[in-house]
Amino acid sequence: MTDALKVSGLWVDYRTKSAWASAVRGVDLTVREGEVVGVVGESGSGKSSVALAIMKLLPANAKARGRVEVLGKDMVGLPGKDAHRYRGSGMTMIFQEPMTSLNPVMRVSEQLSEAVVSRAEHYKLEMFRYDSVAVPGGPDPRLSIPQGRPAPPPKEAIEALHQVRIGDPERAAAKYPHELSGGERQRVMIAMSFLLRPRVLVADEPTTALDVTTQAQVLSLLLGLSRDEGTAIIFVSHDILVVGQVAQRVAVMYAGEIVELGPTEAVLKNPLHPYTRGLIASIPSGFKGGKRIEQIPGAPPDIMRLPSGCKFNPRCKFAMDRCRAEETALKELEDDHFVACHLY
Amino acid sequence: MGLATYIARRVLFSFFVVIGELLIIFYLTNIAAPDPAVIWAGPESTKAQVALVALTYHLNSPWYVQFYYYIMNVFTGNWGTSPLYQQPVISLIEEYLPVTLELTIIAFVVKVGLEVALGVVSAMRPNGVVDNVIKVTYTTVRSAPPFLVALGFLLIFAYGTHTFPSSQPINPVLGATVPKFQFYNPIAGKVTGFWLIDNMPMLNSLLVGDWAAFSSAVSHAVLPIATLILFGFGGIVRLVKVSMLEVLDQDYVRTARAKGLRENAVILRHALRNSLLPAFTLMGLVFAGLVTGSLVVETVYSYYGLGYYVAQSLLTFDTPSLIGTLILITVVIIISNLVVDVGYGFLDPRTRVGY
Amino acid sequence: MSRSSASVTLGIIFGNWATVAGVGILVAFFVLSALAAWPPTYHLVARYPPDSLNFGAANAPPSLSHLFGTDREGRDVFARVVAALPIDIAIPFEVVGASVAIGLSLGTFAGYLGGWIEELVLRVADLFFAFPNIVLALTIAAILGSTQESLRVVYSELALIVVGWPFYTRLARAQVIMIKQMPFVRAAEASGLGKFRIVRTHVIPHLASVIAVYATLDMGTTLLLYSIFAFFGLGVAPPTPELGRMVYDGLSALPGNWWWSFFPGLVLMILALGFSLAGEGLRDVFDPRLRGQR
Repeated sequence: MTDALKVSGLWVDYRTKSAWASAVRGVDLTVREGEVVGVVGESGSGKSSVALAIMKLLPANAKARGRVEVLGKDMVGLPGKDAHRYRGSGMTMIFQEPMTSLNPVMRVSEQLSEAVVSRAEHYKLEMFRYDSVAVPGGPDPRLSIPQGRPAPPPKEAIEALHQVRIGDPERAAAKYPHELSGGERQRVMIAMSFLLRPRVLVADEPTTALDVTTQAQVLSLLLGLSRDEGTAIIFVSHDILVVGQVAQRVAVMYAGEIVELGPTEAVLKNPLHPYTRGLIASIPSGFKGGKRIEQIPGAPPDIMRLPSGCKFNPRCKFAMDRCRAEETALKELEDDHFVACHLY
Repeated sequence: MGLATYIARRVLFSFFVVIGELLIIFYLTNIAAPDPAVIWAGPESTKAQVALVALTYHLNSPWYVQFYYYIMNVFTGNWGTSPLYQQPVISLIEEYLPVTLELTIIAFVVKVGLEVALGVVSAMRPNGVVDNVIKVTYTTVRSAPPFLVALGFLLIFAYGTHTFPSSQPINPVLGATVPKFQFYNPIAGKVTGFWLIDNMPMLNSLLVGDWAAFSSAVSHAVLPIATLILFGFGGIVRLVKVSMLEVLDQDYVRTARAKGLRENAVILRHALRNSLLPAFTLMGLVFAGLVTGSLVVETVYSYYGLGYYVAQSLLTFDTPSLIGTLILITVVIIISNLVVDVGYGFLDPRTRVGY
Repeated sequence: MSRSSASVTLGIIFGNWATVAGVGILVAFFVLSALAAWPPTYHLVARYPPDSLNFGAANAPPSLSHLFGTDREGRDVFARVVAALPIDIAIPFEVVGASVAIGLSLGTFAGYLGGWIEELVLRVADLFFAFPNIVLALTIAAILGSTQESLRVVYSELALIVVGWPFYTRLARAQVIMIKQMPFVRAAEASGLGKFRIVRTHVIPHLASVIAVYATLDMGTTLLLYSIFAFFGLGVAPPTPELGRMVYDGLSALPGNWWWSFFPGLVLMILALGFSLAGEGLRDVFDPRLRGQR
């Protein structure tokens, strides 16, 4: 399989009042077609900045360095006005906040139709059509490019709503976002990505705002997208358990760096980095009985005042002198299982 | 609550507004004033005129009898006679109101369009060159008293370059020969004119196809409209800019970009509509400001409309005219506010439930 | 205010050239009008008395000896502008001061006491908001002033206060409602302090900064509004000079002697600019949220 997304040496700097601070410090990550890669970390670990940098949607006070190749095209060096050519059917993103991610003054159908139009335009430009990937069902979008304002909801939009299991799709399409529940809105967002059929999908905590049953449904919908369409998915979450359910590989981020990267099974069953172990130990596992929940002592560092050496050393119970003096780098310990720690 | 109930409630409130205003004025003219008859007859009037006025307005009766006639007259359209023009106030209003409505509505449309555009442009690059030029311009312009701007335009474009005429709504020779627009009125069942249309210098000459008169009316209106646009300029620019910057940070704008929309589509289809919402609530106020500004503007340009009429009434203390025009302006403002509030509901679906 | 926050405040004020310019304009005008108002110092600012007729020098265009030219009677326009300053500066202070006093007391107590008092005050304020307030104020001033020329300026001020107070009432009430929820006011209530005492010691000081910002901005607006009143002859009785009226009187001389109208109008504009720049600077200090959104 080909690499749909290739991040190498990515830095993201934020301008603050007095100086620049780096939220992402040299991240390398590759996602193949049809693969789901999870990115796990606490808030402030830089995982959302990575997501936004991939999409070229960083806020105005942030700057990315390094390379982010989406379908072989570098996003970092791309002029901002050209970014729209790659977003949409090239890559798209599902955001964390379903309550605010839809435009309050546009009907759901209008917002979905835009996705249909956007995909049609991208296909017209012959940009993201992969004949190797089967495009299931539906008419050739090139034959039905709506002109001007998309008026009646195209059949596809209704179909997509049906696919994400919204009851009575016709009625939901005619509604405004504020008339839908949080779960319904997040499903609309996912329906939107279905309509775009993107090659790369960045999902930033897509299930955090949802209740548990809805969570499970949304996750299976995303998995379906990657399986059926070959979409490469980056799944960003603070919840290592959720990531474990969907991802084939997991990257653990701490203070702007990837500290552990490997197949989900390996990382969850045999965590190497003390931070990953802490994350897994802090999962409540009440019904299994026995151990108390362990917490990682201390708090994630302020990116303005990072410790020297390994960034995790002040919170690490194995910290040695070397950890305080020397930076860490990813080492491959097992097959495809990388860790950045002086213990190994 | 449905839309009809909402409008009914607003109309009821508006009724109280007019009554409240009438009460204040009645107290001032008929109770607080040492000699009400002089107030109604005007300071220049003779003893005989004062006595006649006292009789017509029942000023020698007790205050509640006066109040009865005062209120009844207002609602039956008997708004008194102007001591200055020696004509019924209501017929003066018929003549002058359309002129000002035409002027202020055009100024309103151009002003709002211009300010919104400038607001969007300055939001695109905050603190850039364009933003700063706009900022400096409107900070200066909005501090200028309206008569100073009018004066400046008059000196430069009328007396200096002779590009535009200095006074009157239309060349008087052309104005006198323009026929009144007539149409088949289904209510009256015959061909008639309509005062609100045939007294508008631009619209009337346009409708009857008198191009010489039309171009004259337009060139006479350019300077007054330009001045009105600059009256209180910048309020909308600032509001649109601030809310545009806020909206561009919203999650749904990110969603629109993530969808692969072009930046133009993101701004025009997603950001603009949302960022106009706060500005839209100001529209009633902006229109009220233009009506107020027309007092000064029409005086400086001798543009014979309602503003000019009010100004003349102020300068000569023509009380019946002042009260009549005040009530009229109040009603115009109330209607414009109602239109704005109902319109807001259509722009923002979230408020529609809240009527 | 601690020393460091005072220096931050000063830093914001002087870090912004527009605010500096605004404060500078205001200080210059205050000094100028103080000097002009006191007869012994009047000659320091103007060479000629404002009302001395000199038909030999009538209709002179601006020159070094007559900076703003002379009018039909040969009076020095610059001297008349200077002599008008004390009145034109005092009036916004009087009008805004009275509006703030009424609005602050009504709004504070309405907000603090709540119940039917609040409801009544709010409804009346709503009523006033629905009026076309400038036209109403002009009408009131004209009706009151039609027979008494010497009192016209007082009536104009009254009329401006009548339409000015509702804004401050609403502002004060909204702020009080907000402050009422704050922990220290809750604590004061719990410790059994009287309502009036709480309002005086806790609520009013909090309100002061917000009101100061809006009052300064309003000062410039009131200056311009009052100039419209003077323009229509509802100001000080002649021959006392007044900027708005000078503009109106000068209109009759157009297009020839433009300086009669132009300079008084220009001075009004600079003064109004001073108030608005200073007011926005104040807002930046007190409301960091709005900083830089000019």
